[in-house]
Amino acid sequence: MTRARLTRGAIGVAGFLIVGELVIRLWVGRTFDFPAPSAILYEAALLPVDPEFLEGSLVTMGNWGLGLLVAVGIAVPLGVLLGSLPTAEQAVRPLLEFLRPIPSVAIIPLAILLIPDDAMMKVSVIVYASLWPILINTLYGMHDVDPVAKESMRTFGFGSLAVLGRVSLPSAAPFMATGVRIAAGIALVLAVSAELVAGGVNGLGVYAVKASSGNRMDLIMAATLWAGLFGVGANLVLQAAERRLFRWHWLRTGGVRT
Amino acid sequence: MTRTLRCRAIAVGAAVALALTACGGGESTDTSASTGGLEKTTIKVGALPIPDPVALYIANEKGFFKEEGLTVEPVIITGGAAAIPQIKNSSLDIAQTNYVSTFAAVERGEKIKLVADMYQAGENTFNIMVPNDSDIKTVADLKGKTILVNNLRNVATLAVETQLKVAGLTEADVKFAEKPFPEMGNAIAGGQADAGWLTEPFITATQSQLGFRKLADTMTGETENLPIAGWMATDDWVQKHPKTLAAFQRAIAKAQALVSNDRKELEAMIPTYTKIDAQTASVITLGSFPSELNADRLQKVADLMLEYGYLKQQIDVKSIIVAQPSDG
Amino acid sequence: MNVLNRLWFVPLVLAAWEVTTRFVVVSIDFPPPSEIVVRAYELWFSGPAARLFLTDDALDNILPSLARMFVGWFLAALFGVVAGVILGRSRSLSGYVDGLIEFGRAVPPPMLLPLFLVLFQSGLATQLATIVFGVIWPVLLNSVDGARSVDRTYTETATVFGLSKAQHLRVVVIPAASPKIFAGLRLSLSLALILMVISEIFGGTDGIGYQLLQAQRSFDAAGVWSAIALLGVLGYLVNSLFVLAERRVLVWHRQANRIP
Repeated sequence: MTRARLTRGAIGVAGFLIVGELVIRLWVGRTFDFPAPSAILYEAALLPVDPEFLEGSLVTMGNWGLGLLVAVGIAVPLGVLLGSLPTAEQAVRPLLEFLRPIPSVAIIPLAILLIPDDAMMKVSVIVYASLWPILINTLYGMHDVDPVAKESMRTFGFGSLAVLGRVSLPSAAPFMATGVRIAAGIALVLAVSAELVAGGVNGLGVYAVKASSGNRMDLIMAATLWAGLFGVGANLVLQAAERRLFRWHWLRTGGVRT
Repeated sequence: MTRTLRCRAIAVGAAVALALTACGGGESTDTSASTGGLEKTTIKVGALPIPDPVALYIANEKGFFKEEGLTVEPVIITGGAAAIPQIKNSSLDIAQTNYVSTFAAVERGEKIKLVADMYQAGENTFNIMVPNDSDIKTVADLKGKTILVNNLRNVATLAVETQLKVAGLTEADVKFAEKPFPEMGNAIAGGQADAGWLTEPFITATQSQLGFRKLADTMTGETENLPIAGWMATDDWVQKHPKTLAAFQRAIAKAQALVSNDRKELEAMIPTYTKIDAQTASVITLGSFPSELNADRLQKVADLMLEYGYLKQQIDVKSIIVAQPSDG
Repeated sequence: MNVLNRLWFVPLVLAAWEVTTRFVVVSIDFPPPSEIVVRAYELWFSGPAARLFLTDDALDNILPSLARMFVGWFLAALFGVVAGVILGRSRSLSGYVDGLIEFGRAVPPPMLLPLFLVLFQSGLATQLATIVFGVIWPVLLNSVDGARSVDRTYTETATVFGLSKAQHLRVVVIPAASPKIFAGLRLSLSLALILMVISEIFGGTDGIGYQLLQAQRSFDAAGVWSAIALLGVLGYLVNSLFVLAERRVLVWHRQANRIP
């Protein structure tokens, strides 16, 4: 990250906050009861020293991470498999297309019923929601492989598995990575939403439930802020990993480097 | 924790087949040396982060549970109806419930028992609030208006309907819409609705922050001193854990009595498990905390529900109550 | 028949499901598909033939839901693609907003409902805002990705031919980015359905999500499953339509990458 970019980013954020403060204090605050960004930031700064919040964040992040890992473990192999076997993909496609749009939020009540262990229930919901972006993107990646490259490999006598390993997978990998990154965002939303619906002993969403019952909108927004920050952190980590792993992809496409 | 690890491994296979297998239907912790012969010494109890279940936390803090050989882990739930699946699949042993939800569930065939009383409405604990400049001056003015409630077909709508009846209206004359309590104030102020059924701390909050005024107290007349919330468990659980249940009931009854006699204890406890700060806790209006389940009082709730069409058939409340054993 | 070819797996799964729920795992919360279909019929499809058999309930709930979903998705697609392409090609501009985008993307939409409520006030606007907010990110992300990673050969060729900025955008960038853009649009379409349900569960007054909630509240298990099944079917239909459209637009891309 260059100095220039950091400065620009900071300016962007500052500008946004200032506009927000003005809008809420001068316009929204006239009719409604809603905390201004300054109040929210103040509470947000205090949250890391609140042991309840810290513990809760760890629990939620734990579910999130685990759910994402499991989803990757399922969706990537599945996507590669289906991507290389067109008949299999055709058979399963309608099922996937039917299951995919079912909102995981709707699955939560069902999951509560079927899975007694609270943590496992939440992780399962997260897995379900994260599967699809990774699967879809992997499939897209598999379909996007340069046929010329594959043909060339075949002419040289390489078998299907080798073609898969040397051409298809590396080619599809950037797509998969984007899929994982998107899934990470969705997984966080589900992790928090599951807690908003089901409660629990501790968690980010549980904290929001408590704050909500106590009419502490400023705390809810502060917790939301932190949820966003956690998500940003994870995204940065994933992006850095992506850049490192797929350096060759960036070089080839000569894209605008950030 | 091998059980949990095993469960997580199963989650992988389960997620693939999208057949979410129950991980062994229930937790039965320590069967080893239990004090006083309790079937279970550690139980998970679900409660809302509101003033009503304060006795649970007081019983924990003051050691009432420990005296009975019980360890209680409080779990935050998001609503009585939401907790029913959780007691059914044993992720919770006992949970907070509101009586309207419970009776409706029982009618649908859910096997639930009420094990202890928790909260009863008092004056000005559940009001219909309107903006100060609203042209709704009496309950009769609610005709054709939108009223916000936290849950449809529940205590809120029932209580409002009793007040509507007094003013000569029925539920068909108004429109109920659901919104969580914290958003009601702003929704009404912004014109999305005309009135809201609120409880504390939202009554005080909308009054001080948005300048709302009280239109009516919904806990008067037919609903005076209405039993609101209690503790529930499944039939199955009650049958399998009679001693544990009795221990819970004794400790809770003691805590309820303490809370009823000493408001200061209540006010000190509330900020520790909710986000209601000490200052707010000292000014909010609260109902009462009965120490015993009273079949007559509860029958009133069931009868009201029948009268207003929330139940299709008469329910005999006595068959749902598990009274506290009178010994010890 | 081609259709039969593609759908043979589905009846198999349905049969297995029916058998499992009738004989293996019997619970009131796990009704067999036959029961679910009956309930769905009762709720939505037992109306007069003139109205495509849709009941009042169906018209009052399914139509508004779909309308909100499409409008929300369309708005998100519009803003997302435009903003994405612009940001993808402009390093300085993206520098200002990248941080904000990353942040906005990570925030769980249900937690922002109170904020949208005071910003947009009307129920409809709040719901649309929630949908757009949740849905825009994949489109934006993929559009930026797509616009950024245009193959160098194309960019260099464009320079050699002396194309103007606008031409470059139209002839090179957008077509090259379109596979990724479409991937993003497709993803956000299914997300739009999800967000629509979320906006209706957390504070709506009508719609499929709202009906789902009501069914759960009244312990109507068959109703819950029906709503979920309906969402699946709608999602499938909508996605199929999208795929058809995509096939038309990306015909050239598929030709190039077609497996012989």
